[in-house]
Amino acid sequence: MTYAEKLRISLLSARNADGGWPFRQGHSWTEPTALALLALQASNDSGEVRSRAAAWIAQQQSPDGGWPPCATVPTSTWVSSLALLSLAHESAYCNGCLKGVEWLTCQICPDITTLQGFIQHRLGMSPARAPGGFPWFPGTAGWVIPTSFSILALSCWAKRLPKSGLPEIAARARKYLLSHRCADGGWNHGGSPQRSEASPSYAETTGLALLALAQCQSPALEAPLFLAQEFLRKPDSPEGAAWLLMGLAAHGRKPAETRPAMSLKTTRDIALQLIACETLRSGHNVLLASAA
Amino acid sequence: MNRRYFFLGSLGAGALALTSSCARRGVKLSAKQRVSIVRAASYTKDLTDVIRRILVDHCVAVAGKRILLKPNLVEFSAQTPINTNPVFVAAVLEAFSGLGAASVRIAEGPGHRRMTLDMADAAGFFSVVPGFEKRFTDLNTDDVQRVALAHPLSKLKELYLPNSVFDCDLLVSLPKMKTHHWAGATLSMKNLFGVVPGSVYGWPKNILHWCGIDESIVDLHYLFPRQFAIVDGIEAMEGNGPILGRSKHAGVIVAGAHPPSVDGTCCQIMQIDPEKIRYLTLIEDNWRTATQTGETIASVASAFALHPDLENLRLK
Repeated sequence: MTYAEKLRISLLSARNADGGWPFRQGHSWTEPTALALLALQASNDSGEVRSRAAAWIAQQQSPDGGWPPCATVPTSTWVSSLALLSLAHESAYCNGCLKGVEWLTCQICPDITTLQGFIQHRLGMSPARAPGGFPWFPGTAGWVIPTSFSILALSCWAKRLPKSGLPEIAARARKYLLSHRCADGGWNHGGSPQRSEASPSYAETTGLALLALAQCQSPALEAPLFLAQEFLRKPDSPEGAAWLLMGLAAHGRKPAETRPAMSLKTTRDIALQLIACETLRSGHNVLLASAA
Repeated sequence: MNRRYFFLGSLGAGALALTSSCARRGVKLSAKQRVSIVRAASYTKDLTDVIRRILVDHCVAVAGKRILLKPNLVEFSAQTPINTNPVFVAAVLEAFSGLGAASVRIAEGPGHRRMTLDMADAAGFFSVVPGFEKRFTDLNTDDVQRVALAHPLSKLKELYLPNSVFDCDLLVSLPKMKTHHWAGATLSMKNLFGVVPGSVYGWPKNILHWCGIDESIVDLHYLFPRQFAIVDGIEAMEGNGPILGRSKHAGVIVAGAHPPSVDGTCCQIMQIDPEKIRYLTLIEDNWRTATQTGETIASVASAFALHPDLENLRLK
C-alpha cells in the first residue's frame, strides 16, 4: 500500500456520518471538510464520499453567498475561500458559487488614506485593515492565512470569470503578502511589526504564502524560498511540512517527498499531507488548478 | 514559605482537614479576594504538594468536580519561557486529582499558530503531563455554542465559545507571569483570550482587538464566575512580552479564586502599577481590597523590565 493510499484510508475513517469532517472529533466543520474534498480531488477520487462531501459544503452556503465555519455559527467567514476552492472542481455546484465569489471580493481591506495609515500606526494598529489583506472574520484586519487562501480562490475562479476583475483583486492581495514578510524573509501570522520587529517566520505560513504567490516572479521571493528549504530540513509540524512542499513546488523547486516524522493528529494534517503527496507525484496542485 | 503559610498548609493534609480548617478560619479567610503568594524556586516534584496546599488553604471544592485547566500555550521557543511550564501544569493536575476531582482536563486555544498539538508536543506537554493527548482539548477547534453578553463593556454582543469551557464545574486559569508590550501585563484574566475559538474568529482572535482588548478581557472574565487562578511565576518573562521577552526568575506562585485580585497582586510583584493596567481599572470587582497570605508582596517583589514605551506603568 502506498503512502497516499494510507493517507486516503485515514481520511475516510475520520469522516462523520453526515458526509463532512470534524477537525479531530465532533461535528463537521467547513474547513476540514473542504480540505478533505480537495484531498479527494487531488487523488482523483470520484466516488460517493467525494460527492457527499461536495453536497455537504454546498448545503452550508449562507444566503449572503459566503460560508459559515460550521452550522452553529451564522456568520460567513474566511472559510468561504476554501469552500470556493473545493467546489470549483465540482461542476454540479459551480453556478451556486458565483455569489460566493462576489461575497469574497467584498472582504478585501480597502485602501486607506495617508492620514488613516499614520493614525493606525501611532495607535499600534498596523497592519489593521492594511489594504489588500483579507480577514478571518468580516470587518476585522487582514492576515496572512486568509489572504493566501483568498488569492488561491480568486485566481482559480478568475479563469472561469475573465471579466470579473478578480485578477486585479488577487494582485492587490499579493501586494499585501509581499509587504507583510518578517525580517527573516518569510511569513508568520501577519502581526504588526511594531514592538515585534524580531518576530520570526513560521514554516506553515511561509509555505502557504509561497503557494499563494505561485504566479509571482519577484526577486523578493528568493529569501522566503531559501528559508522554506531551511524549514523543510526540520519541520515543526506535519502541516508546516505540507505547505512548504507545496510552496516550493509551486516555484519550480523540486523537494524530495518528505514524510513528517511527527504523527498526523488532525483532519487538516491528513488532508494537507495527501494534497502535498499528490502534488509531488503528479506535478499539479489541486489548489492551483483552474475551475471546472 | 513563611511559618504561617507552612502551618496553614500543614493543616490541609486532606479533605477532612480542609473542611475543618476552613470552618475555623471563618469569613475573613474564605473571602474571595484572598490571594496566596508562595515561593517556589524551580519546577520540581514537590510542586504538587505546594499546589495542593494552596487549594486546601482556599477551601476549593474539588471532590467530585469536573476541573478544566487552562494553561497559556502560545508558541514554543527553547530560549524563552513563553508558555506555562508543563511541569507546573502536571503538578496542578496531580493536585486536583489527589483531592478527588471527578475529572481533570486541559484545554487551550493558541492565538497565533494553528497546529496546537504539535506546539504542545514541542513545549514538552506530551512527555511531561501523563495522558496529555487524551486529556487535552484544542479550544480552537472544539464544537461551539452561542453565548450572549448581557451588559458588555466591549462592542461584543455575543460570542461563540467552546462547549468544553462550559462543561466543567471549575475553570482554572494557569497563566505564565509575563509582561505584555501592549496590555502591560498578561496574567490570569488575559489568559482567557485562549477560550475564544480560532475556528470561528481566526488566528489571532482579531475580533477581540477590534471590540476593545481591555474591555473584552473584562467581558470574558464575567462569563466565567467559577474560576480559580494559579499563576506560574517561577520562570517568568520580562521585557518585550508576551513572546519576544526574556526569562526572569521570579520564583513565585500566585493564586486565588478572584482573578482580578490575583492579577493586581502579580502586577505589584512585577513592580507594575495595577492602577495603570487598563483592564483592571475597568473591572467593577474591588480587587484593590485583596489580602495576601503566605509571602508578602514586598518580600517577593522584583522589578520586571518593561518595553521602553511602557515605562510609565512602573510602580512608584
